[in-house]
Amino acid sequence: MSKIEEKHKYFLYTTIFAACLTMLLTLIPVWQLVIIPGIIAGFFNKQLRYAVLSGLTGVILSWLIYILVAFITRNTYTILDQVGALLVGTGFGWLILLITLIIGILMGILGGGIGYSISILLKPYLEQKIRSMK
Amino acid sequence: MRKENKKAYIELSIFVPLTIIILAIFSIPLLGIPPLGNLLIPGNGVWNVPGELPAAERLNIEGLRDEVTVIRDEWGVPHIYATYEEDMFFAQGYCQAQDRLFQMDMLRRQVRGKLSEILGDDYLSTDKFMLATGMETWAINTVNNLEEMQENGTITIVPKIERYVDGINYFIDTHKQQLPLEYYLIGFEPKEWSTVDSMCIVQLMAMDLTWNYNDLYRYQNLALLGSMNYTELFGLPYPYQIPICPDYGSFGEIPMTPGIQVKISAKLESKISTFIQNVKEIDSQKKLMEAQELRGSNNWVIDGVKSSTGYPILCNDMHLSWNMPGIWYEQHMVAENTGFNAYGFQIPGLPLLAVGHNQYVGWGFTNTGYDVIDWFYFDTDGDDGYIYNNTPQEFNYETYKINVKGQGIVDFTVRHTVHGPVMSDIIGDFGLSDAFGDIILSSKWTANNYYYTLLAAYGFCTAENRADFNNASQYWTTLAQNIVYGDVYGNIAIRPTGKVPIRDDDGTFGNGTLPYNASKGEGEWVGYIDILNELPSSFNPSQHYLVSANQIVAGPGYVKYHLQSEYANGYRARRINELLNQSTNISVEDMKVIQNDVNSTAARAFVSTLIAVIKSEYGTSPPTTIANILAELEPWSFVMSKDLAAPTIYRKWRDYFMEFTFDELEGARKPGVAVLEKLMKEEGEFINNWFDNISTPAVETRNQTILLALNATIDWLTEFYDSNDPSTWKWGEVHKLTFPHITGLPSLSRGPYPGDGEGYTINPSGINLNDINNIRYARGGASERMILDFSDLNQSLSVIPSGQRGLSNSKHYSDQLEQLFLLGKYHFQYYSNTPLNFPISSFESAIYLNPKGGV
Repeated sequence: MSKIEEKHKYFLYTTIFAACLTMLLTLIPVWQLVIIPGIIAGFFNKQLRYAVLSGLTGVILSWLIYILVAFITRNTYTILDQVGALLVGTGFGWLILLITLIIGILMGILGGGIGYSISILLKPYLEQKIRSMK
Repeated sequence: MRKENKKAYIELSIFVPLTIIILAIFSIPLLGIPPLGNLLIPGNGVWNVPGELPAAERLNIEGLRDEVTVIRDEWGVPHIYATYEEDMFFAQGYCQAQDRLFQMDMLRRQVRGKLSEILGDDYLSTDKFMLATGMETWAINTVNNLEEMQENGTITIVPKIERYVDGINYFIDTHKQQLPLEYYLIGFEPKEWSTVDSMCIVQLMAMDLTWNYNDLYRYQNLALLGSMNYTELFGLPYPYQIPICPDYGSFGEIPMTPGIQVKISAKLESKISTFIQNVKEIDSQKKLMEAQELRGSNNWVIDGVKSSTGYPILCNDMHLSWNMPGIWYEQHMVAENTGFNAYGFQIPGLPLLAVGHNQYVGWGFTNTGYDVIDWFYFDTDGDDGYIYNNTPQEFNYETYKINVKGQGIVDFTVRHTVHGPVMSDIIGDFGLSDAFGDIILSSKWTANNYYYTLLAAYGFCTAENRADFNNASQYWTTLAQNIVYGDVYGNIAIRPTGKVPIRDDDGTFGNGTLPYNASKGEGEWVGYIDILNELPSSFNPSQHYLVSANQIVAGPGYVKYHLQSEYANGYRARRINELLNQSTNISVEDMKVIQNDVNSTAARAFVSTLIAVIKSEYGTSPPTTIANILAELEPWSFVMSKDLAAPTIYRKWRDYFMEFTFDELEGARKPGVAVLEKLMKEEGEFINNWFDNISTPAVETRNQTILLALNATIDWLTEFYDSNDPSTWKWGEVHKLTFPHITGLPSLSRGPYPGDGEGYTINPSGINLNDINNIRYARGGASERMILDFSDLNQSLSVIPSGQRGLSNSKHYSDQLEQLFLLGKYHFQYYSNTPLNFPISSFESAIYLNPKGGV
């Protein structure tokens, strides 16, 4: 397997994992935990740009599915429109949705970045640990 | 350090602070808005607001005795079919919470002084005031009293109420993460419901309908006018009344003779305006005062002689503030074990039904206006006491704790006299200061007592005939109502029902219409009028119909007790009586037309005089604008249509005519429009020349005042519409209907909609045109409409001016308002249907509540 293929494989697996974890975290009413999927995704990627992209894609993919289902089953866009009217003005439901997605994007990117950086810092210790285990 | 590590540290030093900053920004409340993260992140806040109900849902619930089926019809109205009453009440509580939890929560919080707990110290004064009125205290006392009665076997209703409460709590427990939007916006969670919470809502309705400051306003008027002039304007009865109960004669030429011999207390007079000003600064009381301007209701019933069906038809529309969601919750409740089968309306948070019908009888309400609150003033006696009946007394004290958001617990103390709480202490924000000087003002109110409203409601819901209904009526105490009645046997009746105090006052002190000097022992309540035997009522009258629209309860033949100090001007009653009196063969369709009638009796009473005066002044060649005004008014049939200009001209002119006529009362409360009508029609009959403008040396006549008012009207309307062409002054431009959300949030509100009608039409809606830059649109009117057809109760109709569900993303949030109410339409009640034959086209969803572990 080439290095590029390996990177893609890591990216794919970590993104799917991050998306699943993000979806699971929607069941827990502590929204700040949404940083975790990005961190984990970032940790297992070999390059910063893949780490960041994996965190971002995982979170956003999951949220887009969640949002789509909420719009269809719970008429949530009406709620967003009402919140938009309250915070900004009539017809600004899209802005509220955009703010939500931006938070997701930021959490994914930052999580991925943090995870990647942690993996770099822990890399020597982990390698040493693995060597000693062998 | 490796280069790679160095880079990682640099990246972390950027990513981590950025992450913390973003997490912090979205985790703290900003500008009164809860943390945006809590509100917007999927899995939180708005994303957890429930949507429509699933087409079918099965729930396994501990404590149920048998299966319960709840079918929602096309309007979201729940039809509850249970084997046992207890299960039926459980399902009622569950359904109400499912649809109206936030509204219920806010209602109980208002009474229990818990608004500042979620909204902060802006609401602390409201909380203090509401607690001081004693409403929560008497809700608690009544629950204790009911439990004692249950234990000693006097009543059997308590377990049923408790099952209703269980139903609410089951919903709260199982939906902690799926709350209405308002909870996320304000940032709190619902707490457990209790029987006391429900009883507090009865108290809140009592306040809405009976608590007032009218005695104090009248005192100001009496001081301003003197006894003779006061009696001319404010003496009772009001003119042109058609009594609710027709069996006590009618008001012909009853002279208004001065009878009040109250010596005005300068000390009290000077303090009343301060007190009222302070009251108006309290949010709940400001809203209450506004709502009281809109308060009223219509109900009427015809018997088989008048109806097209040969059986009674009963109509009811209660006039209250409009809100989103509306104040009424519609439901159908069936329990096989007792034959309980009732359909009607209830306030969310209360079990049973307030108005509605069962398979035998039906009933509806209007407010009686019985005088059930008095204001007493006392001289103080040092810091700790007061003089009562010439004797020193010590205050009783009651301390309350209020949990204020961001402040913690705030203690405050209410002083009590023998008559009730010292409400004048609001001037010092209940700091027990001497802001009111050396006198205090205390309220005595029938709601400060045990009340058995739910016993009465249970009796109404299960009555099989008039005797059963009468028996239940005696428990209807704290919310005095004109209860209209019809049944499948062809009987019609009305009983203005409630707990009315008997005062030790022969009229000298105003019979409860003015504050009493309690230091001299005036105005003692010496008992209550017996509801069944001493209050007026009517059963199967010879006129074959009965009408109540908040007018006077009984004619001059009822002399035993003084009953009322406040009632409506009577225009709605005049119109309904006119329509019913002249008609036979009246159908349900006719009743729909009558409930939506916007022909103004008041306009008819005034406009012919206005036209006559214009013609007398200007002859056959009036100025252009006047001629154009006549062109609008002369062909007008007094229908307050939004598309016409005549209603606008009439209404603004009437406002000015009132203002100019009663210039003596500037800043004080003015008499009713019916009094102005009488003055206009019978100018020479009054001692005082009310039409004279007291600020000019000349003595103005009626006609001069009418024309002055017309000129002012032209100026006002020309400025407002930016046009001097009267045909452009359409009523719908100023007469709009608004339905604000209970929190006032605009995006959850509905309207304004241009609308027909006015405050005195059968279909009422009152606006305020005093401020040209800030017109107050109509915020109240019919809060429900119901037409009961006793020939076939399945043909009965109803509608509410909102929707069944309080969730703003639901199609049932405002569907009835937009698709029915504003168009004068109704929906069927599907009363006779069962789960087995419920019409498929009207079936929306079902919940099957099963006993956990099986039956």
